[in-house]
Amino acid sequence: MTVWNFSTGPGTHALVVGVGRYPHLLGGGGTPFPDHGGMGQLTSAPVSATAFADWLTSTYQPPTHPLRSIDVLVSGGAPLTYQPAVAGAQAQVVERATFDNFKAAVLRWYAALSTSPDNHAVFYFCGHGLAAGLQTTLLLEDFGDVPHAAFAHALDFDRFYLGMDPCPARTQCYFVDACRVASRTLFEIDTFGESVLTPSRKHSTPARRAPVFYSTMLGTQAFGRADQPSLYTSALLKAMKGAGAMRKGNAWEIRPTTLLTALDDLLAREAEAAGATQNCNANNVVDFPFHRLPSPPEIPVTVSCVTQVDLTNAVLRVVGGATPHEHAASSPPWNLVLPYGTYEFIAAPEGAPPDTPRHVHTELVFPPHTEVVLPCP
Amino acid sequence: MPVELRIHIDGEEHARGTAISTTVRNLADGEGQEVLVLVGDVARVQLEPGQYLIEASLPSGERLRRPADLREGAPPVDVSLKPLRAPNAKLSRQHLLMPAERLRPAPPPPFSPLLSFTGVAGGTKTRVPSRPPSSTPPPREGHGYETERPYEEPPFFGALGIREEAPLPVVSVLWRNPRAPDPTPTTAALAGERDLQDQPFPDRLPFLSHDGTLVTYALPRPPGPLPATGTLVIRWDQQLVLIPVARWEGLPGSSADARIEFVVNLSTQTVSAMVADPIFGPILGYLTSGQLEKAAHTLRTAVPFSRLERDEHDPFAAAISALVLARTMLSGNSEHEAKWYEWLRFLDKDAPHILELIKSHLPKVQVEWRSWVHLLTTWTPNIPDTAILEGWLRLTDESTDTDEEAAEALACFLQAFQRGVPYFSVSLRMLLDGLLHFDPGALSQDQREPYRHALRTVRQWATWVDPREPFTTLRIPRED
Repeated sequence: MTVWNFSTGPGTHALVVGVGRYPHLLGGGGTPFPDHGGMGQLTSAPVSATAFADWLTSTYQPPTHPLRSIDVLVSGGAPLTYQPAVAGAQAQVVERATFDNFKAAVLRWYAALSTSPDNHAVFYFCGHGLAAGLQTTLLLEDFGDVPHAAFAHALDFDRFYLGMDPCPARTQCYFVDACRVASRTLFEIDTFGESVLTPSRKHSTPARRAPVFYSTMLGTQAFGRADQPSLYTSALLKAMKGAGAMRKGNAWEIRPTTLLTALDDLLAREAEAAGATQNCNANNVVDFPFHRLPSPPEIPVTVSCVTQVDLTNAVLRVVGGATPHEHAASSPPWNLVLPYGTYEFIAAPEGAPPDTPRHVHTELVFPPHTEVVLPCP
Repeated sequence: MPVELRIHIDGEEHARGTAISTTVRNLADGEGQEVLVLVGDVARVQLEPGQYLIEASLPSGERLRRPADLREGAPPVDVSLKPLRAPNAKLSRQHLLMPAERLRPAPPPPFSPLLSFTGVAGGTKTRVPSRPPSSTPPPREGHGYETERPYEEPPFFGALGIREEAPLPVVSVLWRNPRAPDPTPTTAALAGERDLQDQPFPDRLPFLSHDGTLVTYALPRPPGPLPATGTLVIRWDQQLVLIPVARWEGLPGSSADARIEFVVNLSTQTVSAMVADPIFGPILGYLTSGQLEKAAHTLRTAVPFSRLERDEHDPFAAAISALVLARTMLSGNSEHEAKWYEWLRFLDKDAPHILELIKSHLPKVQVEWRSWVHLLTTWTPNIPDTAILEGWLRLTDESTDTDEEAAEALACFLQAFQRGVPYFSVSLRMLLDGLLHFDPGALSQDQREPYRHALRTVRQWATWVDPREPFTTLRIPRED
């Protein structure tokens, strides 16, 4: 059991799962599962889960629902010792993400959430996933260890999600970082894994707020980088810094609708930079304050020019905010991250005389992403 | 003293009137209000002086943004927004409603065409390497099934990468009388799969326009005087695409005679259907793309409820409206109850027993929307989507928690299944989720086998469905 309880009272309870080691898939060293479908080991998943847990314990700051507990399961190459970034929290060796451990963690999590309708649930999974049409199955570490029970140690995510409906905590947020590539086997076997929780025959009331943020569209892959956070998790954590924020009074809050917009944008950019195509997807998006930023949002900004003829090697100067910013000489477009505010963007060829006409434009930098197009001088 | 803000969204003649839900946000406190802007028109809003951000979200996913500085005593401020994705001259309003990737050629394959190819003996066709060449970025680590699978052969001709002229698919329409006790035409089409795949159809559709990548079609008038529903059947070499659609009758005084248009993208082999209705086209687009708040706002602002309350009007417009209403009411956002309150009117004369059942337990607005959806279900005995809604109502009815009520909910889902493939992809998701609520082991012997059959079939539909499309678009591999 690797759960950290920080305090009592209504608040947020998180379950974070990262599965990188699959003994029965390619390269896992165990008896290979016959229908492995080409799936192998993932070095990105444990790093991604740890990065998300770090963010939760160090930065996550919901307006009214502080983090009360976090349960972490990680299957990597070697046992992981994890210490949350919370004062007084002890380091522990993290349990592996086998199905039995996962099941026990879900039941603990559910029990903690059941203590108050004001509790918030956060669920994060990074690992292998499969899909058959609209249904998604997530694979735990011991997937494939029973040769004749293909999906014995896989999670039927859709039924699990429905099974969370009776949970007294009416605000739940799910992050699923896994492929959703169609699996013929999945359909032919006519099972989608185990759900741990059984859906009730009725929807519970009041209706829950329970958005699900998937890392990829149905039928497509999600990507990671070796030993680094996945593209989705990288984009998610960037969005939490401000791109997914909206202003409420004097505060900036991350809300599901704005988070989705930012995530969509940031993930597409992460993927493009990695030479991949990946677009996120979400279900049941409804607004509520998920996280409050401790400082003004940091917003991605792209600066380009109407014409680039004289700017093949140019200097971009950004005036505004705390200090002027000068970008090293290069060709547009320039990709920056700036705090919310109004800035003057000035570009000129490197080494140009002072009286050379500049490309100048003033723009409000606002979440989720601001594109600045400099006019001709 | 308020200052007038005038918002204008630029658009071609054929896109005029398309409703776009637009947010006007005060930058000082973050508070926002929704304004419905019709493309080509000017929406006027009276605001307190201050700095604002105007953001229009198109159903296609594109966002148009401009700041505005409203100063005390200043004249009205004009903000003009222009969609960046220029419409293809052959299209009407598809560029506003559909994701951009649906309307452009497929991206180039993830390798350079100048790198080595393995030629296929005896021909000019080339085969790509089974792994990306070393000069491409290192392979990403996929979290799924296909990471180690060889790349599939792309539709390329020759080492210079000249794209083969894509052949036009065979496009047909099958008509059904919606008042006949038939399931939806798509179900019938699925049942006659071999005929669909191998035999010619008499009514092969002519296209409206063709630019080498995009081919547009319009649903023709059904034969005979009765209203009819149809299934678009698009046959490619490797796949069959089936889309159940209904002729859009239109609402009196607003969008009569809107056409169902669809675009076949030869490059990506995708098919996108839309209703060319300036109000319901965007509503359905918002609903499908997950912009539920935008769908709800557009519906409440642009469509008086009185236009939907009787079946002599367009039942499909009513079904879309009910989907938006139900999805928002079940989203957990309590603010919606108040917002819908003014939109709904109390209806009770046609279903007093249902109302009596729930009236004593639920707030008035709950009674109103539930009663309307119930009536809609009875008005449209051949539309699966309304039976799905009825099943969801019963699953969420707070007033009862009995075996009978659960059985009734299941009966609604099974009835929906009998009615056939839902018209809207959102409904198919709801049907699948609805069925998943039940444990076959806990069902009676009579229910168990129909349930298993329905779940198996709906899962099959869900395997084929393209969830990005508003109408249920089933892409069926030919070997299936």
